[in-house]
Amino acid sequence: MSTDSKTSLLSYEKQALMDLLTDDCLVVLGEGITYQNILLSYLESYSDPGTLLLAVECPEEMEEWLLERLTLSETAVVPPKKVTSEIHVEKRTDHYLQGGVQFISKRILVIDLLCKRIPTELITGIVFFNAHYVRDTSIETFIARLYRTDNKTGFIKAFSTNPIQLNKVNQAETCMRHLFLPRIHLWPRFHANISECIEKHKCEVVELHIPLTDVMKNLQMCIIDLLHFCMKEVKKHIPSLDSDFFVVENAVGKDYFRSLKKVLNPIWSHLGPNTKQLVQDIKIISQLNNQLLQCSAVRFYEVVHKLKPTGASRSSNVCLWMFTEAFGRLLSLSKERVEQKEAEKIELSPKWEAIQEILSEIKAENKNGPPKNTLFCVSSYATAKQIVKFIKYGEVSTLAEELLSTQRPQKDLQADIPPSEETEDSRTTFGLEESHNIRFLVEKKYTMIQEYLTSLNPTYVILHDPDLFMVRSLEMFRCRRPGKPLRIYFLVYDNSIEEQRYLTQLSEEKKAFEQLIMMKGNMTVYTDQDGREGTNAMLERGHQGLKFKDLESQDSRQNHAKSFPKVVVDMRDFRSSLPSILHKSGMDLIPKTIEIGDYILTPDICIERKSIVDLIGSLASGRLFQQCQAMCNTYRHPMLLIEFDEANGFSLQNYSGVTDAVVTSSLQTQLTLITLHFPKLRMIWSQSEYTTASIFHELKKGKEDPDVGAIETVSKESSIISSEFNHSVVNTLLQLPGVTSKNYFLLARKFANILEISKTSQERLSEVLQNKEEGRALFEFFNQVENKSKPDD
Amino acid sequence: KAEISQNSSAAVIVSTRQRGNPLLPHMRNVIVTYRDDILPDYVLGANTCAIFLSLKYHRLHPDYIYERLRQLGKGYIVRILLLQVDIPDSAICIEELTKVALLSSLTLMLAWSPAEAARYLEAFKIYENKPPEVLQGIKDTSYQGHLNGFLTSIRGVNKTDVARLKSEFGTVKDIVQADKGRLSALPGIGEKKAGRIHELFRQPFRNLK
Repeated sequence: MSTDSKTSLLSYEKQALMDLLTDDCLVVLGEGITYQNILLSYLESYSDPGTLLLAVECPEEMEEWLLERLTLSETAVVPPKKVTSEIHVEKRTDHYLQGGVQFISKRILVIDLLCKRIPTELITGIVFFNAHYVRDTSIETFIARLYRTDNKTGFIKAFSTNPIQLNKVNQAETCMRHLFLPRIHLWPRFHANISECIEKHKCEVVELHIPLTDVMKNLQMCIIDLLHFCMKEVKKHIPSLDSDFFVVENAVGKDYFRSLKKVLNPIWSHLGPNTKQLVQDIKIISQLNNQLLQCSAVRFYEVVHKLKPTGASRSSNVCLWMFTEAFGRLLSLSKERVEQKEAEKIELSPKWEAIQEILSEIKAENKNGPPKNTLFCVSSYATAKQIVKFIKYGEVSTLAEELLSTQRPQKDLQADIPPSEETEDSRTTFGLEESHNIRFLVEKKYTMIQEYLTSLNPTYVILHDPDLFMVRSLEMFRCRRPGKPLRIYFLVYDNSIEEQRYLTQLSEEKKAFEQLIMMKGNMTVYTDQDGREGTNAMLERGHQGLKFKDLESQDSRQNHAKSFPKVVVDMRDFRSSLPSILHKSGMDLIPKTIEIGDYILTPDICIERKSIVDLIGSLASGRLFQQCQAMCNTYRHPMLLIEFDEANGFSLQNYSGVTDAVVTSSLQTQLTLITLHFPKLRMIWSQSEYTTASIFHELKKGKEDPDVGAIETVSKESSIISSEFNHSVVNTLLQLPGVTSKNYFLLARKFANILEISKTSQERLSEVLQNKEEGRALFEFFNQVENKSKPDD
Repeated sequence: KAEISQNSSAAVIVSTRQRGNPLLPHMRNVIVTYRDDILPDYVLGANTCAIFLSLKYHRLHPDYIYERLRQLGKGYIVRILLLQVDIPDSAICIEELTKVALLSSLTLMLAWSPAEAARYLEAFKIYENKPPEVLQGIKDTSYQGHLNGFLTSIRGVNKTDVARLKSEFGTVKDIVQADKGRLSALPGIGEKKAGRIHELFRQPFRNLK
């Protein structure tokens, strides 16, 4: 195969490549429209020691693929490189100076930019991914700002594959402004170049609209009725809820529950337990929809049956919907469907019949001639397993066995499917013999779907569940292999929720693109948007929140740009967006690995930053106590910064509620205890990073900068987990019985990982821990079969 | 001083100027006595006191709190400024009061309802002499407690997953040794979570450097 991929680019890819080469731009692609080939050709042209191109946070699978291809490429003069934390900081600069294409994580890049380990002015260009998530507080924004400040000639490009997200509240414009991109290029499926290309290499598509059986229709009705019921109830409890969003049509959508949770999060604490329960129930009911279409009659009955109110356990939390007529019907219908004495009479999944026909059609076509591959695209592993059994043993015995297994624990059902090993093969065949030439692809957004399809080399594809991403990917796959036939069987239940969902997905994407095209036409692009010259406001630093009395000093500050106040920031905190906001607000950051606190503002002020989730976690684990203790012992003004996030609302009650009694398990009580034990500790309650930045400025006013040298000496002495070890693994290790902060290192030094400990004998564990009791506790924890109580579903 | 000895009573001493504060009816877990001669609003222990401020009030009477703090002086060791957040755009107010609290050596506590505010005051009284054990990582030392702690320390794993894993595999050893495919086949545990679980058990303890 030719390694010069330029020749094999499709026409739209050539056009997109041209765009990339000329502009600083945001490239937006529709669902399933691939761009790795564009990127490969593009990066090839920069694989030269005289250039330095940084690909920031490239999606993992694509990064691997690009690394491999670029290494093999004949056009690339220097092989691509990856910048990891394993490259010692002192060697980092040399590494960058070797040039070519380098893949890097955003955290490493931002720190190296700040520490001037990277020659910023020598960077030829930066490529960003997943641009639809870029906001004012993103690390990408921070990187772009640092880069553009010192480098006016290099380019910036960004990719996004999520037009819907990008179309939300000016997201596209926001992203372009923050990344200094004056242009946007849109590549929807309906773009002339793309549709022409697909038209030219058409797939043979067999659309099978399968009618639901009468029982299924009725069941679907019941489920929709139940959703109606629950939503009406919720609406009663929360009259303020947006009625456009809160409708059943939306509720059948794929990510509805997640977006519902998002809408409700800010007011979650004000909801009563009944409302909360109802919201959970909406999730359960909407899942029933999928299960109705995916599972066999037997399995579906089992699911519904489990929901039945079972006296004691449910009585405390009465779910009104379980007493509706619709639920009664749901129960009885699903029961009728399976209550036949013989398996032959049980209703078959209509798609099974279709599959049977398709498979025999394929078989007949290929009677003579070389075997051709068939690919099943399914939405879950469970479906794949069902199909395998069905192909192996036929439909009746599959059902019969399922029927039997409802009386037995689930394990038996899966017994004949060998536990999949890590080999490529069983991941795709699910234990089906090689001779069937059948592979499975479980619906998932593989970044490198094209490579995957190529390796599976299918002639026939059966799309068991309608999925836009797969349809598009197959179209693109066909374009890439002109002359090779590809037949797609597209299975969809007529007038079903899955059909509706598919159509919604299509129209939503179309709408998003249409609006983006409109926006592109009307967008205001500032002449200095690329930040290369002039005074782009994005590059200005300074504290907008400063009160009028500070204006004077700010003026003088701008005169000597070097006089920004300095803050020491713990390296690990660069995952958050606070450093970016601090920098923008006019503080110079000194990244450092510090063991006490996250931010050191002055020689006396040390701040531990906690998001609410961290706060809850570290209070429970005792880590916060240790951190406060260390801070109070070392600094005169230790502070705990509690940082809320806008999405979840500014209220502690949202997270913990308010109890009637005073209990130690409540967040408020634990904060009280912290305050009682550390009277010196001050609390900062911040609603956003911007508030925090403004408070930091206040705290630093007129104070000295921190003494970097002094911090270093502090850090060595009082670490909780020695830096010799990996924190997250040791944290897990510390949860084990018999393991304490005093003896964990004995284990961590003797054994490689937790897996190895689990295989070790009691005697050996006791020997390593130098304690018989602890060794026994640890061993028993791993090997004990506790009285098998069923999980409470 | 006379006041100190009276402070060590079992009750929360409430200044008479607090009468009518909607948080008072929520004080049900401690005894409350009123006095008209204390400097803070609430005396919660021998060395603990609190000043209460509603943001709504603060907006109307911005000078009030400064005057109160001046009067309070330097007494007490644990000094609380308890704010009730009862206005929508509270950021600027809180920012200002954060500074005030720092300058006057007070610790800021925020409550979003009278009930929550009452709970703070009660907790300060009730746990006046509580040793720090609760904060040093209360560990559930039962088998189930360890199991939950062990598995939920992996990012994304919740207690339902723990129950699933346990019932599927039987022993912890089998969970640790399970392959990725079998983990991801469990309901509720997707490929990503399975990958994280699988990886963590195999990740070396030691850092490479």
